[in-house]
Amino acid sequence: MDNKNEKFVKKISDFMDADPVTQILNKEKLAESVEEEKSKAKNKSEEA
Amino acid sequence: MSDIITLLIESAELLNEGAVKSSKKHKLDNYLKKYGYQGDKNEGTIKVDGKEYKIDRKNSHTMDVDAGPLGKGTVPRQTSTDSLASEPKIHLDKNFEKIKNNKRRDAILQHEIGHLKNHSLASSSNTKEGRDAVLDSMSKSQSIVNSGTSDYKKQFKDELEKSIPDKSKESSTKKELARKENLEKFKKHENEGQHADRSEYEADAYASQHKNGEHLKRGVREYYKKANSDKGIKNQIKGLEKTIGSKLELTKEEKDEIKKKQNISAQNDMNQRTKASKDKSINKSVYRESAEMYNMISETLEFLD
Repeated sequence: MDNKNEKFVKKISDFMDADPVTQILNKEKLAESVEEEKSKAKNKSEEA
Repeated sequence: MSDIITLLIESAELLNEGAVKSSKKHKLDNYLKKYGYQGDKNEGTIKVDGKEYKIDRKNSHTMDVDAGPLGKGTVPRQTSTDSLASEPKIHLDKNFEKIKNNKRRDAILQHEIGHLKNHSLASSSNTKEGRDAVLDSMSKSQSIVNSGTSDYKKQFKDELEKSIPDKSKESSTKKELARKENLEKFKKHENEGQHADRSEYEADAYASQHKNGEHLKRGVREYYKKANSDKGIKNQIKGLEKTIGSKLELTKEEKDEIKKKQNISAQNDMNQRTKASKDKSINKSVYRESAEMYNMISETLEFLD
């Protein structure tokens, strides 16, 4: 697993660990990261 | 003849399977019945030690949580409480239903009640010390709140201020002062980024004053194990996708890594919680009487309304 994926997996894992209040406050940030990861993956596949 | 025997065996197996499924389906119903459950398969109330609690048991990967002054939201489903809501609920999930026995389930239920008794706006905020204790135990969330763009902390504090009767603003009880000391002592057992913090330790201390601490430990360990199994992780990811409204598209390698991380984190949480529960300098009797305190305070608040 490369370093970028490891960071992404950590973000998901940290979110799962948080209490419901923290999850409510952080869900938009996580959604943004997910979209960011998706567009990165898309660009990567287009370049290839 | 052998065909008939095979058919009979298969029918018996099917019947057995049906019986198991039906017994699983009614396990939570039977458990809640002993607390005088009133309601349907989605929502209802139970009565524990003379106090009524709202129960949310909807069968879904996500749940709607009311975080009081911080707003409402949808998060992945888990057994928890929305203690900041004006009408808090205890959310029970499938892993709670699957716990091995009622002693462990009872201890976990008391842990959730412990959150309601110690971390809700209504129960602990009738004096300055009580309000500070709620703020202090919620500080882990607050550090994240403070990093946000809106001033959630101010909103939260204002809401707490409103709930303190004027005559109580300068007074504090021995119990509240002792609890403040406990919260300071619990700090040394906290680790950044873990779901083992002051509010969890207080809820554990409450549960161990009302049920056997060993059953709590085993129940929580079993709960974590179920939540972080292959199926548990799959459900957590489904819930997470519903919450953020986006598909995660994770590879098998990434899912395995999440499972590994969750299991390590659960083990660390357990270790921290065990250490905190063994800390002899904590005054646990503070959490013994909160049932009476809670009733008294909520009755006073109702009267003031």
